[in-house]
Parts: sequence; structure tokens; C-alpha cells
Amino acid sequence: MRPPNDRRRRLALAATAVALIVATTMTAAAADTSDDLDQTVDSDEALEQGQVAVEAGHFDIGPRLPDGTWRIQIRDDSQAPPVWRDPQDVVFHLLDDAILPAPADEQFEFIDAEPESDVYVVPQTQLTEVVWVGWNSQDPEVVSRLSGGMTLRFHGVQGPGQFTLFMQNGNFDPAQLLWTSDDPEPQDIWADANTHVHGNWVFTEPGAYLMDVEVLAELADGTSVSDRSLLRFAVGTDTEPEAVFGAQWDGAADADSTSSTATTDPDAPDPTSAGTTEADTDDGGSGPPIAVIAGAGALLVVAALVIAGALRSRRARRLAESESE
Amino acid sequence: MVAALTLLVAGCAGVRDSGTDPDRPSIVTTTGIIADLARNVVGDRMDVHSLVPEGGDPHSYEPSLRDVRAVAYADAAFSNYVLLEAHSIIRTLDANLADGVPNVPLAEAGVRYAAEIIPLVENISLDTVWLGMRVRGTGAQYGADRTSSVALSATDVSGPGDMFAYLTETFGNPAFSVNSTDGFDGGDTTVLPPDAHTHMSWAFTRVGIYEVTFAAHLDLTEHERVELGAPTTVTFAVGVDPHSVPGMEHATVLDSGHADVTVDMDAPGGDLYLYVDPHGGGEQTQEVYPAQDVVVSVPTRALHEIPGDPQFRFLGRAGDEVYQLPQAVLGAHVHGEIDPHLWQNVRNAQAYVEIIRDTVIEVDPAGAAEYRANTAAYLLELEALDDYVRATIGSIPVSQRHLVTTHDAFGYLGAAYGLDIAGFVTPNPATEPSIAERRRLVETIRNLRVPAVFLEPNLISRSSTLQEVARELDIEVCRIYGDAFDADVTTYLEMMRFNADSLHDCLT
Repeated sequence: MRPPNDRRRRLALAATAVALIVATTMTAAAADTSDDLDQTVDSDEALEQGQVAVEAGHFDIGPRLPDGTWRIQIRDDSQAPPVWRDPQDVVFHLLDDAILPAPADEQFEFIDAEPESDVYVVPQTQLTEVVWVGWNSQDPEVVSRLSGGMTLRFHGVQGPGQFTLFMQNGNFDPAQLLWTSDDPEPQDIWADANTHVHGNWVFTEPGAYLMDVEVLAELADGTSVSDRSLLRFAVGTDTEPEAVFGAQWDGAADADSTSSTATTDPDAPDPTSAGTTEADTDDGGSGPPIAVIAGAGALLVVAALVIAGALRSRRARRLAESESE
Repeated sequence: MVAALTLLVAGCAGVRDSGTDPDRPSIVTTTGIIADLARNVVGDRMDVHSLVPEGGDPHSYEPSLRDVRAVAYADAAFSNYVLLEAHSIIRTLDANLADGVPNVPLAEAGVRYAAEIIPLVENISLDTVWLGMRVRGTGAQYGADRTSSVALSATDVSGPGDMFAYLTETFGNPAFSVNSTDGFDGGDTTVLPPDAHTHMSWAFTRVGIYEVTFAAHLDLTEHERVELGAPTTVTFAVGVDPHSVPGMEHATVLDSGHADVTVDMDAPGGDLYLYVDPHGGGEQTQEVYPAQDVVVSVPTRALHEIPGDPQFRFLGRAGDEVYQLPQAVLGAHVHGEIDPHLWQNVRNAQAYVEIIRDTVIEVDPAGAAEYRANTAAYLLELEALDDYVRATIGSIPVSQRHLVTTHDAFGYLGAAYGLDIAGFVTPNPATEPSIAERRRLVETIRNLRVPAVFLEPNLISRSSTLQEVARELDIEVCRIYGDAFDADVTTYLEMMRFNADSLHDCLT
């Protein structure tokens, strides 16, 4: 047949670009990390401190149980051995290498961008020059305590463009939309215990994005656990990661690290549980932290703005289409 | 708590139906199968009322006023799982049970009693083995590093039709790894860095057996190339029974989990084999299978019509059929729901019985000794039943162990006793089959030379498709019990024995 297309050749030849990490120390151990979905996660992987902006390499969002407390962390597999990091310490930086032309195909109508215009994509299958973000339920302690699996819940995003996350199943079905910033409701993805998944993350505009996500599960002993945090994306080469570290969830205290265990209501986290930067809990722990309430309010505002924005540009698109007829 | 329950029972006593002992506690269950399990635990000490009557369909039953009254006076309620019973049944329980009365969904509670749970398959075309390609090892012996390229190439494909392996990229473009229609000049190649893998779709245009030969090499530099292992052939059974490939009758059939066509750079001289994770447990559970000992199953449930999108024209014309393993990575079960038909595995029925025992002891501690003794005796019977079902189904030759039914209710039976769930008319009995589903059913039966299909007595009136297809193909229609008993089969023990015997008699 024909030689492999350019993209695939790029995958092989540009492999030198693996693991461009800013502001972190690289250990010089054997290169046994992998970009495969059947990875092994060791129980003794360290939690690494310090802020990093990552431009390439493999990262997974996933739960861990340090000191028995259910926490969202990010597994940094761009170095060997892999380490885990707190979400507030990581900015995913999508360089302009992540740009693809927006598709015209109607199955991608959920992407709010004109066909052929630039969108920024973290793909489902790894491109060595683009940071590769997925999720896993593979921490051995987590695997041993889960009753069946976990839910990854998207509460919303704050940023200049539209955000969508979807899968290609390669079975002729249309792309499977998992998360969209157009929908103000929480959106859930299930993951069986000990699984590892990558999807396509699409941002329609460059800039700073904060993403409000929660990982929740029922443990085998019947307890419900959850943790909620902000993920940070610097989209586009010109977007400074430092600015994204400093970005605040609009109109409210930082909703980072609102954490809860043993509660079934994700919107009413237990304020007594540990949270590294938990805001004012001077209500004595009798109710949800103020930061969370404020964050939820801000979320509605942001969602409304996002929808309004989407409608505007879709109307513009419809107008443009009717003019061209 | 106990005192309150006793008061409640006493309080209810005055308004009971005449004919029931006013002092006897009672329980309600949603289905007759759960009621039978419960009766074996409580004996004569409690009344057991099943909301869905004998022969009724739990997916669609509407509770009566009499049911509501039974619920209101019950001391405990047992349902199965929200995806089995009609919502109106679950609502009747939730709305009418007295405060403090245990309301136990057995499937969910079963997790803590070691029940074996199967995730609900939401998309059957994803319920196949997921096959990819992989490079294992670092290649350090050749001086390779993470920037090196390893090429895995198809060098030959033989079979009745064409074969393609391709990756669907973010916006739907296929990126080819193998295309058998234009020769093998080195272009049928997947390039990976060391210690990496990739998922892909594998498409075959005709039913039959295919042999695909792979070779691998390492590109150290543009001019320096190291061959890795000898060319190795992988066998695919497309649509046909994977257990009767000539010369490979004893091969391991890959039909679930993950597997990769793998080149191992750290084996001396390199080695090509299949790296298999049969249950999706991750790399810890992945095992090496020599290619000559393996048949990759591409079942008829993976039969698709080629869509109209011009991007897929390489596979054939729109509407033509193609067998295709998916490039799935998220899974056939996106919402974390479970297949509700747990009792088709006898070990799960044992878990149900233990849950019922522990619940009724809570409600009526005075009867604890009796409940324990009843349960112990019944668990022994279930143990014997489990052995019987396993031995009976196990005596059907594996190449004939294919179950075709009206709906997807027998996943647990298949998983526990080694029966292939070859096909069903529709996943849910309430939906009419599409033309494509009907065609897939016919092809499944033809390709596997299935001698009989199985029909649930309570679905006879709604399963014209299965009966028509059986008539067309001149094969038998046998009975199997799924969600409900009838006049002939009135207990769980009878039901499971009947199913095992029916499978054995109709398939051999």
C-alpha cells in the first residue's frame, strides 16, 4: 500500500520531543515509561511538589488515596519513574503543534468552530509533540478499594473558547461526545477499576482554561468518596503558563482542592476533610465551604456566558451559510 | 429499632387480609425468582409476596393496588436492580414501604457478598477482543532509545476477502496500518517508539479464515536496520466458529479483553507474538501467547454495514457488509451500569440468598436460628446445582456451545459456564429489531451452523422475529428461562436445571 501518511511518520520521527518539562527535575532512570493504555501503575510512585508547565509527554488524571483520603492527582508519565502531582501544580500547555483544521463533517457539529478554522487538539492517540492527557483508575490502592469503578464528572470550564471531549470508537459510530462546555449540567464518564483511557480534547480558541472536574466512586466497603479540583490548560504557544497558574475561577475564591470523603452529595463536600488550599472554612465545618458555594454560582454564570457565546457564533455561521446560497 | 419493627408489625396486623396469620412478618420481592430464593430462606416463618406475577415480565409489569398494599405492610423488600424491573415497580417500593423497612436491591448489595458482576454492554459491536499493535522492551541491546522507531509490517494476508487495519484519527480520518488490496511493498507498516502500543480497527470484507503475516524491524538510524524475529502468522476466524479452524482446534480463542500483535525487542534476536490481557486487567495480567497457538475471533456481532461517508469507501460500497474489530478504548459500558441478570450464575444466587438471610435476621431476630438453618441447607442445594449446570453445559462440545436468544439476558450464564453468547434479536425485549439486526442474526446462525435457537416462554408472543428466522433456516426453537417462571418450571432450582438440559439436548 501507500507509505504511511505524514502524521504517522511524524509520530515516529519527532519522538525526540518527548517530555519537554519546564521547571522540574528529570530523573535519569531507564526509559521504561510508555504511552500504552495497558500501563502498570506502581503503588510507591511519589507525589512530586512544585509547579510544572508540561508541553509533551503522557499524563493521566486519576484518584489516589494518600493517607486514606481520596484525592484527584495527575500522573506524570513523561519521566521515569513516573510521579504524581497535585492538579494545582500542573499546567497543560498546548503548543501550536496541537492545531488541526476544524472538521466539516456533520458528526462534529458539536464543535463550535467554522470548518477549516484552527482548533487546538489533544488527540486520543499520542502525537509526540503534543501533551497527551488521559485518565486512569489504576493506582493499586484505588484498584483494591473500588467496588467497581469511578465516575469522572465535568462541572464546567472557564476559558475564551468552547471545550469538548469525545471518543472515536472505530466502529463506524459517530464520534462519542463525553463532555461539552455547551451543557451547564454536570457530565459523567464512567471508568471501570484498573482502566486507562484517552480521548480527544478540543479547544476552539487559544488562551487560559480552567476546568472544574470531580472524581467520585463507591468503595467496596460501601463508603462514597469524591474529590473536586481545577485542571489548568494553557492553549496556544503564546499563552503563558505562568498566567494560567495565577488564573482564578471568575468572581469567586479559587475552587481548587475542595475535597470530600464519605458523602454522597458531590455539591456538599465535607469541609472537615483535608484540602491543601481550602478557602475560608470559618463556618466551623457545619456546612459546605463558602468557596464551593461561590464557585457553583460562578459556574452558572460562566456556563451562561459560554452558551451565549456559542449561540452568537452559530447564528453568525447560519447567516454566513444563508448568504452563500 | 427491633422494638419499633415489632410494633410496626403488630400495628399492621389488624388490617391484614383475612387468611394470613396476623403475627407473621412478611416480605415483598419484585420477581418470582427472588420470591423463590426468599421462600427457601424464610420457610413458613414469613409470607412472601412477589409483585410481578408468575410468567409476568419484570421489564414491563405495572403494580396493582393489591401490590401496593402488600408493600405498605411488608417488613422487608427485595428488588434486583433498576435496569431489570420497570420503573413503576421500583417506585411502588420506594413510595409505599414503611419507614425503617429494609429495601434491598440485591444486585448492588451483591458486590459485598462476592457476587460476580458483569458490566452492562451498551454497544454490542464493542464487545469483542480489542486488538492493537505493540512494541515491548527497550531495545537497549541494539542501542535503541526512546527516540528509535520500530516498524511492525504486514507482509502477507491470505483469506477469502480483503483486510484492513486502520486508526481513526481525532476528526475521523482513517490512517492505514494494513491494506491487503494493493500489495505488500513495505507500506503496510505501523511505526512505534519502543515500549508503546496503539489501538486500531481491523476490518475483513468476507466471512472465513484469514492468515496475516507480520515482520518487524528496528530503525536505529536512516541506514541502520535490525530485523526483529522471524515473520509470524496470526489467524483470524471471521464470522465462523473460532474453535473449528482446521489444524487449530485446540488453540486459545481471543474473544474478549485486550491483545496486541507484539514485537519483543528484548527477546534474543527479537520475537513476534500476541500479548494478551484476557480480562482487561492491565499490564500486570498480560500474558505471552505464541501466534500459532491463538485464533483471533471476529464474531458476527462485529458485522457492520459500511457507512455512506466517503472516508470509508476503501472498505467497499456504502451498505456492503464488513466484519470489524473496533479501535475501542473507552469500553462497551460507558455508564457503569451492570447487566442485571445476575442469577443466571448460580454463585450469584447464593450471594442473593445470603443477603436475604442477613436482612430477615435483622427484621426478625427471633427467627435467626431457623433462617440460618434453612439457608445453610439451601446453599448446599445451590452448590450441587452449580456443579450440575457446569457439568451439563461443559459436556457440549465447545465448537457447538453457541447461544442465540431473543434478548441479552444470559451473559452471566455464558461467563460462568463457558457458553458463547453468539447473538440475540435485540438487547432489550421491548424494542423491535432493525433490518441490520435481523440480518446479523441470520448470518450468526448460518456462519456458526447453530442447530437451535432459544426462546423464553414469557416472550413467545413478542418474539416473532426469532421464530420466523428459525423457520426460514429450518432449525429448532428450544425453551430457555430468563426472567420468569411458568406453569412447568416453578422454582429456581428447576429453572437452572431445565436451562442446562435444554442447552445440552438442543445443541448436541
